[in-house]
Amino acid sequence: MTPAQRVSLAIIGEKPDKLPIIVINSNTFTCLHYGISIEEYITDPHKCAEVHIRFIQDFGIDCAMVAAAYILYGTGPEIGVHWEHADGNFPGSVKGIVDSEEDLSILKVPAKPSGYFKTYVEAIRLVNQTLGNTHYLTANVIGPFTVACFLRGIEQTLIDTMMNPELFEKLMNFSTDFSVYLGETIRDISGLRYPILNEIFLAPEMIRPDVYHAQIAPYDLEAQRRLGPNPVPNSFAFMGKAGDRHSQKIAASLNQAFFGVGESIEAIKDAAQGGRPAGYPFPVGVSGRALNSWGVDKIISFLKEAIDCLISAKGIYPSINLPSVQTDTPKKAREMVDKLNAINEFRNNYVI
Amino acid sequence: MSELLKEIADKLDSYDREQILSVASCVSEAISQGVQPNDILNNGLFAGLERVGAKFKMGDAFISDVLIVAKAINQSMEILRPLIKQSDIASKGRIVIGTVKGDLHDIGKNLVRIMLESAGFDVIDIGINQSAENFIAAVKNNNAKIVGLSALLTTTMAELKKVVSVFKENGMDTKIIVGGAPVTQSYADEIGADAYGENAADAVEKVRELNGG
Repeated sequence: MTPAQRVSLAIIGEKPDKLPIIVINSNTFTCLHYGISIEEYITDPHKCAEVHIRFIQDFGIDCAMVAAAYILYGTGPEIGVHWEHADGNFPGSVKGIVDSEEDLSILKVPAKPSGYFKTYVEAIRLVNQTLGNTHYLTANVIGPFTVACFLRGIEQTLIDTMMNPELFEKLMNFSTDFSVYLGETIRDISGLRYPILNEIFLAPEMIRPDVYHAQIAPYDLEAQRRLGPNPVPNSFAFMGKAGDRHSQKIAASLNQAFFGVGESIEAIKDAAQGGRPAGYPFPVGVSGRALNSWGVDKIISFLKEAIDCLISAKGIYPSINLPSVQTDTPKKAREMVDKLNAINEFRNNYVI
Repeated sequence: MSELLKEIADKLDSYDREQILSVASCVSEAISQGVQPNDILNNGLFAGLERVGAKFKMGDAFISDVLIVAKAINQSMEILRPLIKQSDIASKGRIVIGTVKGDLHDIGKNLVRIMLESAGFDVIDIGINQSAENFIAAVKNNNAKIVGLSALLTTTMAELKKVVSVFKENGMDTKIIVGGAPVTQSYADEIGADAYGENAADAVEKVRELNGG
């Protein structure tokens, strides 16, 4: 069974030969472990792709998000959004560029990728070229709301949902076109089969789920429709059903299970009352904090308890989710190697 | 008069656009009726935010709700500020806050600032990507007794430990509270922080405790 087959079976709730390992972010670890700089990672698609490929192959990763930390790719300096470069870490966007409707009217959806976004798309193409037939590769297509947050600033965008709905609507219309451009570019140039719509700012505590359903979900659906015919899963919108607080709370637990927030067996059990996240198997997540601060035994013990519970009591074949394989020093990177190897060994020996 | 102050708090806690938009006119009305500006501030505006903050802590309000209310309070402050002498505002204490070096995220830190200010604290926000030395300088320059450190990333969480160590190495007796998505109580204990804020509302309670209740 190939890694892609393994993931695909778990996504539809069927039994894989072994549990899939899924990694979202791994950029600082891969830079440290394979000896390239952050600057090289974000400007040289060949080096970026090479470290991703080695990482996936070396640690038995079945599903990986290529250059995942770059949720900002395409909405950064390429379109005039200023990035600040923090010491020893990846750059980030610190201020939007849309202060008014007039600012919005000047913005245009680019005709073709440039700058960092071009690097990103090329890196995805190269990884997909090597591993796309065997592995389940995903990449971020930034969703309309997240694009809006980068353009306007997240705090102001959140306020606009209630206090300036007219501007919010115009911003979302533009952002939907922009999101579709990002998705089409990634899909057409890289040939990637499993891009996902990433609304990373839709964490459960961020916005009322009913506001999401009324004011944001229609744009997400529109972006997904235009990026079809195969759906681009809206994986990070853990919002439950409209008007159903119970399902919204279960969705919040699913977010915890996916990202390993607090590594809570109870949250995993709560989440198991609902469905799987769009485009992913049901997750047992171990957070970046736990990966860094827990020893191997504690990590494996947590995984075993959670997985045993899901398989025996719920009949769910989960994935092992590592949302943040990140390290800040070479010593931590060496420790992470041992932990990743132990997780892979545990998974390989785990009898389903 | 207390009815008018309650109305201001109710409007802020209404989650209704029209109600929130009418807060400023309600504040103006309170002034015209002779309500003391400090009363309007503490028993109207801040009382409303405190209610929303309590709901946020329980998971019944969201970050967007807090931001919307904070913005409405800011607009009302434009009306009140000329009427309030700085000396009449009794600060509950001064705290320096910021996001640690290497980290550019500030939503959580901004929320903590908003809620601390609303709780009557004098907050010096030194921004994102700040070194231990900058935190120390800000504490010394502003004679702050408490410092709040924020980190969102796994890779910058270690910077919290570094800042705590540098404060101790420099003999500073500043109380240190830490927070951010990857941070936990046990991590806060491990690095020697004095408190951990699980979320913005919890951070306000912990700062109150650090400040002597």
